[in-house]
Amino acid sequence: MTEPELEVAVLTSRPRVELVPRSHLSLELGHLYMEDLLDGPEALRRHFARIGPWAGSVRARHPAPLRVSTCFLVDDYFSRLTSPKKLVPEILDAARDAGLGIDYLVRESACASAGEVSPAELVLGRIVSDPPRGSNGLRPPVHTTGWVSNSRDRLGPDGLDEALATRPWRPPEQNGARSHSICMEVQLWDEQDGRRRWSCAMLSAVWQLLRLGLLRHQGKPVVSPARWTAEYPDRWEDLPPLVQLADGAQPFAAFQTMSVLETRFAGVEAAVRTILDQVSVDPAVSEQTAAQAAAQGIELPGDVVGRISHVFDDGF
Amino acid sequence: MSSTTASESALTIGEVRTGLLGHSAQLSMAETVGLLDLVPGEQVRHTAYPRAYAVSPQRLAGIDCLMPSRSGRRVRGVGTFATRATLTGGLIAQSCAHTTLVPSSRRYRQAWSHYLAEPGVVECLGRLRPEDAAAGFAEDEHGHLNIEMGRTAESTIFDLQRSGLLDGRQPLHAPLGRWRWALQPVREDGDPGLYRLTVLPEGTRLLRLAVAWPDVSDLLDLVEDLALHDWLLDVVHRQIERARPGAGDLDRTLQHIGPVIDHLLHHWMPRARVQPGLYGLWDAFDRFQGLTRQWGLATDRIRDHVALNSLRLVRRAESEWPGLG
Repeated sequence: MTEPELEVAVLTSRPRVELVPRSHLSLELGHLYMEDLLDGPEALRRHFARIGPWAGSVRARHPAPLRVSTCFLVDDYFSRLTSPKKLVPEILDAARDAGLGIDYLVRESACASAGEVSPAELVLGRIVSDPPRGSNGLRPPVHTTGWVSNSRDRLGPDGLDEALATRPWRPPEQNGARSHSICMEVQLWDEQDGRRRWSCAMLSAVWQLLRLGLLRHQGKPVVSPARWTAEYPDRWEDLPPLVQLADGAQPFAAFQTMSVLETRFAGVEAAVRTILDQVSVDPAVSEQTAAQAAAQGIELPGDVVGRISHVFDDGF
Repeated sequence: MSSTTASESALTIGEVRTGLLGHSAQLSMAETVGLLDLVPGEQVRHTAYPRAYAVSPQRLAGIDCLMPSRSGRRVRGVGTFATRATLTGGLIAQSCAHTTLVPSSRRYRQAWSHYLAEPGVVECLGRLRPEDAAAGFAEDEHGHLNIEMGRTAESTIFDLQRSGLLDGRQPLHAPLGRWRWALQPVREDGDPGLYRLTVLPEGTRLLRLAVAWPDVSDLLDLVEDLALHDWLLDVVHRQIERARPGAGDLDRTLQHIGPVIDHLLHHWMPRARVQPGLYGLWDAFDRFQGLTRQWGLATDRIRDHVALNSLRLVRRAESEWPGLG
């Protein structure tokens, strides 16, 4: 007996996520602490002169019609020593003098809070801890401890605890190490005056995910570029989280990112990779991004960490 | 939602827990969506037809441990299992933890992000014998489970129960229904299919099925639907037993049968969320277990009991107030 053909309505709607337009590459033209920016226009000029050749080389590798957008992150989260009114024109002028155009300017505090949404909280909720050998599924409490690790917990001898002090020293062990270990312990936040203060590594991990266009809140992107043409305000909070500086800029989000940074950022960026290694992207967003890439003939690594790269240069 | 597909050599295993929310009334859809918000920012999917039903986003847990086995084989697996929660009729909560075991293309563990790119999949670094693993997980009472999916499924339900959205008043006492299951692909040699249900002394159901179906999330729907109806039947049986029909105790009837009529009977809707292509499996299960027949008997019994008690009341009223007739 053949069964009748039935058309069955979908019981539950599939999650709807908004597609973001993407460039091929998001190129970060440096990331400076507020203190660095205070050294005046000369320091900024030196910075852009140093990374200019790298930016040129990246552009040469991605000739039109490949799309590249450039961005610059200003730290207004850990300190606010100067105003956008003074700083933003200095940055833009210094970049222009080095032949570089900045398409998007982002406030670092946008990674902690953008309107109603905290992108950092969203990312924290998506961390799936890298399990040391022997983990059988009982979730390590990253949400309460605020640390991520790539290795087996090590209980070092503690002078205050005799029981522990008598225990023989045991070396740390990287999860999945093939011969030798490199162990990372990354702090995601601390508390300052009873308020959570996100670490630079955590905010930088959020920053990478924003540039990759992989964060959504209830299906919607958490930051969208806002074109700014007026004079820059006195207060950072009066500036949109993500400012589009140039007309006709390629999309802010991209399939892959590259950051050109000074070598002193290598530690933070290694921590960023440790965090991103443990972020599970919303499956609906992953699928959509993979389809978008396939439709444009782009080969996209399946894992997030595979989509970000760095150049460290101190300009020797 | 999961993009996982069950391939030839894959074995999908999981645990389901079914229970009644500690809340005196059915949750509205808006409250349900708030309750099932397990992953911040991700969407809860829901529908009102044919009955209120909502599914949470999936939460992942990482593992690097030995795989289930009946014989004690030591095969290491690395990857994630996924846990989701559902709410049926605004009151019946289920949580399902599951993973699909596949062979690894490498003999060593890879970077963790590699495993996060395939959520709900565990890669086995040694040769897994699906038969041995499935039997160890979902047939043998003393099999080596090794993966703690059951505790995660249970703690997910307990977390829901602690939500501030609930008033803590469960309409009736209903123990958690526990199911552990393993789904294997159908063998190519035309093996007509495997179906094995084992009920452990403490009530846990172990289910093994052979099924050829590409989408793991459809299989979760099937197993959850079976577990839901099995649990409904079990709870209704318990309530009938508590009401002691025949003893003529009207208060007991009201106390134990009342909540069943108010809160449970209308949720019996076999296959409501099962893909038509899987109806055959539901029906086969029903044929063996006689769920529908037992449910028919139980509901008839409840209705007869209620009708008879009404008659008794009428008779009593007549004898106390002869003028009424």
